[in-house]
Amino acid sequence: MITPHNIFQHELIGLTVEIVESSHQGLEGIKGKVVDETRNTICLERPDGKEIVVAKSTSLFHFRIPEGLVVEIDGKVLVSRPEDRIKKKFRKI
Amino acid sequence: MINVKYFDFHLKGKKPDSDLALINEAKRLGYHGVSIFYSNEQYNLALENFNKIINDETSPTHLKSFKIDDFSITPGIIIQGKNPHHLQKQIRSLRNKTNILMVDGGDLKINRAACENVKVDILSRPYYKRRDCGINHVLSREAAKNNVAIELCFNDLLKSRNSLRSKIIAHFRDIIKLQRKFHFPLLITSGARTIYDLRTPQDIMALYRCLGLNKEEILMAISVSPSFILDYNQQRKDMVVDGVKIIDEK
Repeated sequence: MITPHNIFQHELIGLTVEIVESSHQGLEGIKGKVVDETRNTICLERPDGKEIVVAKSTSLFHFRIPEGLVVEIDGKVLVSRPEDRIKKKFRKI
Repeated sequence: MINVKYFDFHLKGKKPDSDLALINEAKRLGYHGVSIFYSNEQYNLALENFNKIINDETSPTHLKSFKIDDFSITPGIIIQGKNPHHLQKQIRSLRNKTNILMVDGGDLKINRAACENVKVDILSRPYYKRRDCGINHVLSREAAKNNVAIELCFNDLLKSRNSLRSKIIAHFRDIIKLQRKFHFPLLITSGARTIYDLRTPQDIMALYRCLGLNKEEILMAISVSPSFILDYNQQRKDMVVDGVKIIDEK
């Protein structure tokens, strides 16, 4: 089950996401559903059906998890292949 | 013109009356906020006193900043670690109890343990009773990585004389040199115990300009870094790991 405590290690495909900040200003405010993911990028499907590819490291995302919570994730945390991210260690604060 | 908010981030708390006098004097001198530090044993009592003084009855939580008009008072805990292991134990137990956690430096091992710990906010006086400034390139890099602010305490200059004062100035210059290279957060504080130890922000700025800091660096140390620490610690309870934050519940 996806929770805010494991979302950064979890599979992201299928989640609803909004791009809040990006070095490419044209991408800011875009909402969509994650349909694909690589090491450095996320592929989003917008409500009009168009797919866009967004670089992770330069963006700030708001992910909505099925419980209804919104979690803000800095894209730098997500940079790694999904299958590798599960065994990556993260610094607790 | 930009409104700069000045903070004095290290007042030493003792008794309720003298603490209140200290806070009122800081307010009169033009500060916009202070942080007052207690030992772990005195902290709960101090919070109760603040609640009584400010007549705030809605405060069962320890994680609290008090406000009088626009003036913010943030109580914090200062830890005096006997050794790195003891320090880590103290940090683990006290992190969720207070907003701001400060470690009293001086011993090289304590300085290192504090710089390497992401849960510490401020390393106070790493140069205390030392022949060097207490931090080096390794600790500076760790402090920058973990966002641990290094404090330069004005009270050390005020209460020392002759050669000791010149040595403390030399330590300040060394820390400033390291800060310019490694960009860890720097804090300029008064470390005041009584109202006579306090100075206006303009006086403090003038003094530190003599020690080699430029205007922007001083503003970072006296205004931006304290605000950042306060904001960051307000959000800390919502943060899961560094870079992941719960922002909404619907």
